[in-house]
Amino acid sequence: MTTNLGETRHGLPRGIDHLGMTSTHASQNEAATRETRLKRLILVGALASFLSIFGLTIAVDHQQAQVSSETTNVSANAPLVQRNSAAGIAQPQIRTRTS
Amino acid sequence: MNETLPSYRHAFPSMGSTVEILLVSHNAAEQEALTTFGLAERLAAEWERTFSRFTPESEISRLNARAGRPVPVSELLYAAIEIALDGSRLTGGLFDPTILRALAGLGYDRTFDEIADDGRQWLSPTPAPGIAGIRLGPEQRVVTLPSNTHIDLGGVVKGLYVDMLAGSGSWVGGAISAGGDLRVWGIPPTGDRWIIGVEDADDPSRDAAQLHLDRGAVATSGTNRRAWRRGGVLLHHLIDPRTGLPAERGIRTASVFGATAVQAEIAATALVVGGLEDPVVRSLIRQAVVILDDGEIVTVRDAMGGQVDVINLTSCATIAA
Repeated sequence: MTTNLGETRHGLPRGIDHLGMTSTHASQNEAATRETRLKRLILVGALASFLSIFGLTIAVDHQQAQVSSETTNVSANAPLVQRNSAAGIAQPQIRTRTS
Repeated sequence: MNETLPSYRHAFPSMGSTVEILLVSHNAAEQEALTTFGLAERLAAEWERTFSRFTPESEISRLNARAGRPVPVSELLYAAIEIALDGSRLTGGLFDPTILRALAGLGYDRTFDEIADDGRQWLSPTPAPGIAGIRLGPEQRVVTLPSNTHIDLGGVVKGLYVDMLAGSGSWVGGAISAGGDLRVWGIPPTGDRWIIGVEDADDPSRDAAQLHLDRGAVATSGTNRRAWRRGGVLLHHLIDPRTGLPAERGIRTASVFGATAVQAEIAATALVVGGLEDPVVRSLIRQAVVILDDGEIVTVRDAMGGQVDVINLTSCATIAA
């Protein structure tokens, strides 16, 4: 590992588990499998149950009423965030905030 | 560089923070965007009902209330607990879902907006009991917490939510952020790469750095947010499980890159709690941007090589990562 403080690391052991926080192909595959399984679980469970209860058409109508006031079509060239207007710095498309 | 593509953006409050979604399409797709946004809001509501420790009726509150007994839980809660336990093992306990009593003892026993320095002192620090006594029964999806153990999954659920939504639908690209945890995929609305602003710890209206990447997740943890005073002392929510006190490693914020948001979220917490020199942390982090207490920005890059270009906006100079 290197930092801009000039630190170097070699050969430190990596943990291996199905969160996939390693660089091995096996663990990456395992992480992908787990994520796929979780997505299926959640989408088939929570979202599908929602859709089955309310129906997609009704859901769409309701969602339009709820979210349209907050939804913005940003297909124009205007950046999403206007900050750090220094020359040569592109505008970010999204920000990571401290949590 | 690709042309500017139609894109749709939506933001709503949830899970004690703000969820932001940006969807990119080759063609105008406003109706589809509204559908996706609505589903995202309903999924967030499901998350709140399951994981909010401030709601007595939530599933996790009911589980904590029955510590010491086996409790059947939903697939969602069971999966999140599995992930949290994995995260704790992988980080050598630096990330620990059993810090709830320590947090409550320090005054974070209600929603953050409701915390006030009312003159009360904090309770004696309570080291986290750890996950060793937690029993999972996968066949019946039963969880048994030791009687002295309550869990808080706030360290994984926003990342899990982001990972669930990322890549869904037929969008050619997108970005989802829940609090500090975000993930990008596919084609950005403009340019060739996604550009992520990293909030300035001193001035949240500005960015301290930018991350340029093709895909992946970034999570930011910090001591400058969710900080409160109790008995006149400034405290924050990133607890060192070993002491039961707020971590003090000289780090204000840590933005960690990962393949998934939940990975990045766990690693970011471990980095703030364990510090840059902790060997377990160093084995986990592939790439990160750290803002120290003195304002210095440190970039971290694993020898395996990162995929993210970091631009330091405080000096408008590219950091050699």
